[in-house]
Amino acid sequence: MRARPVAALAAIVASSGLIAAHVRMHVPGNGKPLFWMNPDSVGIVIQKAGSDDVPDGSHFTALRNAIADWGADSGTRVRLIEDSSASQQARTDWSSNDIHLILFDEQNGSGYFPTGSATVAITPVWYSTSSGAILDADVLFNGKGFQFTTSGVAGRFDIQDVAVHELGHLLGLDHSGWAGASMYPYVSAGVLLQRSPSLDDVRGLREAYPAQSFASITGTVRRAADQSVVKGAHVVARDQLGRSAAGALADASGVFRLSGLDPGTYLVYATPLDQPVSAANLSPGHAVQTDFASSYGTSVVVGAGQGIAYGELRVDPDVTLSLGRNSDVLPLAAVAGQSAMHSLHGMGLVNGSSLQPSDPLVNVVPLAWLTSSVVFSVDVPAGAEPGHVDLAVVDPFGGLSILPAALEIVPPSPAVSQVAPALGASAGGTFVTLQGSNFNPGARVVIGPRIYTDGEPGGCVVVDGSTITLTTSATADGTYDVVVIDSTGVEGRAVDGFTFASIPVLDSVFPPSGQSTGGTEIVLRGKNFVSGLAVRIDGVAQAQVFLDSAKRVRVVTEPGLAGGPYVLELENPGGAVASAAFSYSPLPDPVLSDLAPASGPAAGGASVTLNGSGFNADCEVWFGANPDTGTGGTPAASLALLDGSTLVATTPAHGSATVSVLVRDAATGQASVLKSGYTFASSGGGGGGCHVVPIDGPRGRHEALLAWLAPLLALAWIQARTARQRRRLARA
Amino acid sequence: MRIAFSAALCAALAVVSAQDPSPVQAGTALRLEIEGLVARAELAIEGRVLSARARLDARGRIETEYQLAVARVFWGNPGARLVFSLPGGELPDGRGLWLPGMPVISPGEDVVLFLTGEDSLGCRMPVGLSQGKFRVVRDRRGARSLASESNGAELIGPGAAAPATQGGKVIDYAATLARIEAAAAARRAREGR
Repeated sequence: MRARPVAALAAIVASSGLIAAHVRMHVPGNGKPLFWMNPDSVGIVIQKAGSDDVPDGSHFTALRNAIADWGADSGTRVRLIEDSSASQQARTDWSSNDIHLILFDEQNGSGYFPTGSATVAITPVWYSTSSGAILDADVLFNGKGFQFTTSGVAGRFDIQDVAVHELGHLLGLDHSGWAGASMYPYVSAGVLLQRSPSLDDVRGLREAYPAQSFASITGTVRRAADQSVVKGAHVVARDQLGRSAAGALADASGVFRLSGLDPGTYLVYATPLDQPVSAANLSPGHAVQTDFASSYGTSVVVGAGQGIAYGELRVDPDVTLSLGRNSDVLPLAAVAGQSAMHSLHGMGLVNGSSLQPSDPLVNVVPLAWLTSSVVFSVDVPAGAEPGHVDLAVVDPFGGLSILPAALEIVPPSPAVSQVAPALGASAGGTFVTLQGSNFNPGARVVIGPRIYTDGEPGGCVVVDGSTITLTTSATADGTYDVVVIDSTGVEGRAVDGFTFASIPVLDSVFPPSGQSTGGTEIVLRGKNFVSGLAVRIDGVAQAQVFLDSAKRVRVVTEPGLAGGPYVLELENPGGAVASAAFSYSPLPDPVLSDLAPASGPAAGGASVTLNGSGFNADCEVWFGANPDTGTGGTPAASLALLDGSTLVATTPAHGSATVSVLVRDAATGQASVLKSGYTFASSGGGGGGCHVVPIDGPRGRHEALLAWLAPLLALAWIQARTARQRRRLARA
Repeated sequence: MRIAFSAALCAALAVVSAQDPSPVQAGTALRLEIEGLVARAELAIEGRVLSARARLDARGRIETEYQLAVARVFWGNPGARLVFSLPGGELPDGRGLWLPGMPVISPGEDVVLFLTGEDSLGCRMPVGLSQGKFRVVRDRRGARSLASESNGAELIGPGAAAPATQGGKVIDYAATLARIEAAAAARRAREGR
């Protein structure tokens, strides 16, 4: 072991304020931490336009996930409250103090992203220099210079991952020395692990905006050699399982305070904030000295809400050894139950050194010591809890360097193998079951613009490791990925897994039968009919389909094979189908052309001639039936078939109105309707119960004959019906 | 056994060689090498910061105007004295604006800066945020080195000995300047200047 040739004494700027767990941004001149005056409701608005790289609007869900990530801990009372009103989402004036906007700056309107800036996103924070109160803050993405994604497109930046980091700044957090923290200052395209705030990030919020009293450990970092205090040492607490649990930056007096702690036993150590995070990553005014080696202290036990005076944490002299550079993609993902190979850069990484994970259940095996880097394998047992693990290198001379939270233990990524059903109504309410693997409590399901969080009202239910259920919320028509996001940030995705569509409902098909030669106009009633729908009968697409409204469609049938009933399907764009029955008859459809006379007394009893074609002995006549459904109405008091084109009916009593007249073949269901075919008049038309007899103009020969024959024909029809009934009774 | 170890080592080296030049990117800015800084800069200069003064710009935002005595120009044509503005700072009225990731530039510092062009109101940005600033530091004997903000090169104390040159916190001054010059020459050749 030898002393580092340069004693990098980094007495930068004196700072009087105690820098608590994590690192908070503060006023450079007086060290006061930046904070929100009303942390319970920090308003935030997602600008509607979003990124031009993500035209489907899924930036909303990604950003809402990021917002929710910061509100997940009950130990802090800071909450980002989204204002999703259309008027606010339409605003782009991010620099106004009355709005905190998340905006994709596609044209460098902010001026922060000129050509060559290489800046991906930025969070300008306005504050009061006297109090540290945050006056305004907004998150700006450089949409002009970079591409973003919500679906893992290679080479693009994950919106949620970047947003979680920037929102941490918005809340007043500075960069963190934890490699696995969301506030770690570096991220790479495609990285998802910083989507979820680490314990260190959570401690930072607990310190800034505590919702309750937490345990803390307070002490002073001193050099073992001369007892001088160390300014800005990075002090870390490690829990009994060997997981990184809390971090703090000592102040200018060497005093550290690890706060926001849950009860437990913690090993405390100090490490210089030199690489991969350094003072340069922090806001101005932090005093950071790095002329010492990573040094372990002792373990302490803390009870709930207890404040522990640790005393002095003594550190050893500097060594020519360090682990981790900002060129490393950190944290290193270590998937439970899997092995992976990784490398880290640094200094003094020579043969004879050892590499040790803080969690003894994790197996790390160095494969090559290359002086400025080390290559190693990592094995994590199946079922290992998520969290962060430190890596420590010890060189052949006993020198020690620790990289806090270098490994992030994550569960295997969720996989979505089936979504059933894969189609639901845009109005919502569809019960959906997701099948797959590696589903864990706390997961979120994202379908289009909606987020379903495990256990929350209107959210999802993680039934077990392979099943998630949810009931869909109203969502615009479209096909969306179904994404299961683990609480650690890893995700699984069923591309185009679910389609929201208007689900048609068929209430009636009228008439329910038509001639096999086609040409029958049928009316479909129901709801949720949308433009572009298709109708099939027995699989045959119908060419003449007319959408009258969302509740009414007319179809002129194509020819079909006599028989049935066949399946009639109405399919909306997107694939949602409603079905009903329809039959083809070998007989021609009845066609009602006109009535004479077209009006008569409300008391009924008038003889009316119905002209048309396709009439037969099975035809019946109804007055006032629903012309779209054939339901309702009153049957003719009597009816006589003169021939295939003539029926003579006696009108029933009916309230005064102009009503439809329906001719229906009772045997086949074929029918024809005159919508406003007959008028029942309460007076003047006939009076006194007499049927209408035109007094002007000559009566036609046909009509005169019918008037004479009608009673006789009616009597014959009644006799024939009675005879049929008798025959039926006899058969019975 | 030996073959197995060799295979593992080869794989390990492959990992390292694959990762070393990886297009890794920084939290709010792309992670840049010297060549990347030169390629993006409109001004690449060395000089001494003479003054810093915060003010409101025409948009109502705080910016800090710096005056720099230019000692060396790698790219651009700034003249002997450069006046430029960067967003952020603190006003006498008690308002401050901080953009996380920006470098801290203080009067009296000797710096190497990589700056973008000016926007419509004359404000620039450092290329790659804090990566766009190097601080020139001197040891006891007056030998210069460069402290890279983004590489964790903190300040060197007045009693410091010679700086480390490899893998440490301080970059060799002469070697780095030569690298900047070479990158600038390559850019000139590329752009036909």
